Amino acid sequence: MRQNRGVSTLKWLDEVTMQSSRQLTRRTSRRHLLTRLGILLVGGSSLPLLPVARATGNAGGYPGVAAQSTGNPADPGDPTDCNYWRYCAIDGYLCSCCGGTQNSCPPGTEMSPLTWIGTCRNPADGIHYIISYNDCCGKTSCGRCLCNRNEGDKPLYRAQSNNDTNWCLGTQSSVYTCSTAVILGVASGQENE
Amino acid sequence: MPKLAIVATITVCLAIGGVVISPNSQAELIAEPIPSVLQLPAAYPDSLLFVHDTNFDALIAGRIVLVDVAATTRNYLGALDAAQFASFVESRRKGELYVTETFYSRGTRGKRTDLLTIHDKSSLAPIAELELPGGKRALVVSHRYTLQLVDNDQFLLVYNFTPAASVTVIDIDQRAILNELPIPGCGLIYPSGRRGFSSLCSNGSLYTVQFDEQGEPLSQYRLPPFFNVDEDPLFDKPVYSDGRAWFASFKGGLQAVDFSKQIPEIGDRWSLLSPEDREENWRPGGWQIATLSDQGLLHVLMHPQGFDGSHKSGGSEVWVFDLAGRQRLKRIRLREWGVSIEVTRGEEPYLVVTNGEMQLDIYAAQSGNWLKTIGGVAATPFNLHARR
Repeated sequence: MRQNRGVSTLKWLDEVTMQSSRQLTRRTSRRHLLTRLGILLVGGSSLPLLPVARATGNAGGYPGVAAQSTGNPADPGDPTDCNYWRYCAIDGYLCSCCGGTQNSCPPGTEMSPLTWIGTCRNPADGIHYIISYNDCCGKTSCGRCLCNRNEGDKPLYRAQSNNDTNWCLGTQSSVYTCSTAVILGVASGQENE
Repeated sequence: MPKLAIVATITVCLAIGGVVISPNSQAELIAEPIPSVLQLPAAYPDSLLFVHDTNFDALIAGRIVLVDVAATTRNYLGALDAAQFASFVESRRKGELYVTETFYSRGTRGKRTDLLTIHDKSSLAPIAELELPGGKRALVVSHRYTLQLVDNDQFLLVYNFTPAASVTVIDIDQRAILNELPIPGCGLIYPSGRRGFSSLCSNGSLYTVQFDEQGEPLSQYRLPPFFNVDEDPLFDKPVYSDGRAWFASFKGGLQAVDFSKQIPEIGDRWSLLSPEDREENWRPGGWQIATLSDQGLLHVLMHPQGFDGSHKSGGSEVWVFDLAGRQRLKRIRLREWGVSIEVTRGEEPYLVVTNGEMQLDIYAAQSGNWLKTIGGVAATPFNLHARR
């Protein structure tokens, strides 16, 4: 599968390069460009890896992964898509693609009680929520829907805000399976948009 | 007797005698010995690279692959196992390679065992083990500052995270664990002073411990915060030369720190960016974002249009700086998007770039010319170690 995706990657990267050039010339929104760049880079990439793969999922998520919905209009988006709003600082395989959900672990795994924390904006209400990225542990890597986004991510020396750490801590097994994104509450000091 | 039959008869006779001689003038291949296992030369070439494969799709089966990037064939020389978010370092002083790794008795479950595994440089076989107690070893995406050697490579330092942070001190010559030194609120291991280390802390300060030959702390210092972790954090992967280190920042600064003394000295900070670069918002990014050549040239992986969260996005260019003159000497436009970089040792270094396809692109570091691509070495070659 990786090889098949790899062919596409080159094409995507070419598109990235071309689009970068074009858009830079046109002086369009930087953020827009980078969002597209990230989507293309990782959506098409065979990057099985976390730290450098940025936002993923060409429109509709990962190839061969059926879309999902929370069923709640106040919680919009596809939990199998790296661009789902809660995943703004996630790093790992999406449990939604691995037998779990955006806030539940797959059967037979154990949810880590320790975790790293991000703050993500829900586009439905404009509110920033504190998100806990609890890892699910005890079975080998899921290997599906790798997603790495790094908004607010800090280096390892600020561990509580770092997503390069294996947060399968305090569990029976430290073997990493996949990652969830659980809402803890509304972030304080935010400005609604 | 027909001529063909005569030849056949001679061949059969010779074969029965244990030797086969071809009827043709060209000699046939001789029998080969079994078993046959190669060894590496004790002295590695400067162009050798240790490629750490964290192997995300099967984390319990990571590897360290030895690759000679200069060789025109047989680049892949061999590999060490490195299980579950392992760490790796090469000894300068001994013919040994060190891997800290984590196992479970039933593969993914059962009893946890953390090990220091010592491999012989020639045979690449494990020659000694030391069990690391407590299940404390930090499990993070492969990172060279989780395992470091200090004091002429006699003492091996292991980073622990439970999430309480500490450093285990091992005497390599005695094959003995000496001590565990807490580093509260801090992380990672930066060799510092004669026999010690520093750790960066979550508030932007620097904590330093010097210890004696028994691993007991001689001194502990906490320098006040010298950078803003919220606004512009320093990457946790500096480059080192003769006890001095340089840390790039998320927004393109470069912070010097002199670790050669008992108490580190915070040096100058300058920007890698020109006003034009700032206009295009170039930033360092990727996993292993910086490397230093023996010629003292800093190489940094850069991407344009940076933003909050782009610090691991990789880059399209490698920028080369003269540290002494604080001048950018060159921009190397990469053939493929890069995620990690490393420069090999020696007078004719190679710039190695892990590209988005997880292949290794090899460039002549001095000219910036692409030479070749080495593929299939590792599933996720995020950490590249040149020889020390």
